[in-house]
Amino acid sequence: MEACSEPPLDAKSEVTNQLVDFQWKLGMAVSSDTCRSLKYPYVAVMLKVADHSGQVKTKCFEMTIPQFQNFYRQFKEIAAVIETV
Amino acid sequence: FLSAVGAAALYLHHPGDSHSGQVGFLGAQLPPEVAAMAQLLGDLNRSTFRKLLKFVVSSLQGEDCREAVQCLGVTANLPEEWLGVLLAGMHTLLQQALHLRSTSLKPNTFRDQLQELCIPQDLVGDLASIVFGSQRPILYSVAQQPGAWLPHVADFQWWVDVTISTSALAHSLQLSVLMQLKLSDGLAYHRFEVPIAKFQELWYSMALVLKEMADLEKKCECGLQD
Repeated sequence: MEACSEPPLDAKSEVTNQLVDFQWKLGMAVSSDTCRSLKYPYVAVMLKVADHSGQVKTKCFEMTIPQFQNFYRQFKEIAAVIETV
Repeated sequence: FLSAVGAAALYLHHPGDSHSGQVGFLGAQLPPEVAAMAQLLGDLNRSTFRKLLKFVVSSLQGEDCREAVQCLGVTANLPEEWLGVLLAGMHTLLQQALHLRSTSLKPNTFRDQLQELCIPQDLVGDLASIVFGSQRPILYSVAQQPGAWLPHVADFQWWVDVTISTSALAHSLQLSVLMQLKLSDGLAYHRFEVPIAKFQELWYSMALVLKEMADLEKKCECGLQD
């Protein structure tokens, strides 16, 4: 997970999808069919992305706590870049 | 060989060793990375081995250890090739062992099978403490993915772009954040733009989650109520 130094697209292609919503859930798995006694915290995220026609697609994924902290660090960097530009 | 043992069972109570005819937890064919790793363990500094093991355990839980691994490679004076072999072997070995339900892989069987691979005794102990230790429940569940779990983030990249001017506007100086996400359940990259206002909302949400996580950790320390 790191910022790429090259732009991802050339002038011909355009990113036409836009993030419209971000929902999150912080949960703790306490038990499962494979393990009776768990204490496993996780963050579940649902992104809603709209394409140029307005059609909305959802993407759901999960992160462990270390993964989420890493994700957060990326956002911190983006915020820092936005401040300085 | 397997069918001979099977046939012998018709005539004998205990045909041969308990291991003969049984497939080990690593499968019928020993994964090449495990074999390669086993060859390097004899001369490996024990403290380095334990640090590498810690990285593999963290990585199994989703942590990004790449930088830390590189640092270790430098301080321990390990060539990158060796690092690759050791980490791949340890990762496969642990993942295979953790895949099995606790009833089907016993600690003694695990140790015996590792010794058959000529893995040094003291290192066998370290590996067994991971597979059968207190971290087993979490590692086991994470090793089961997918299952009752959603996909996780396989790759995440971002760019901040400034539009200087467009065909419509001569001096627009508009900032936009582009994100590119790949999930573990697919090959496609999902690309989208995040309007600045949306980004601020996202950023605020993430700070909120972080705060909630810290609160949850405190509750865990005090003991969660059943």
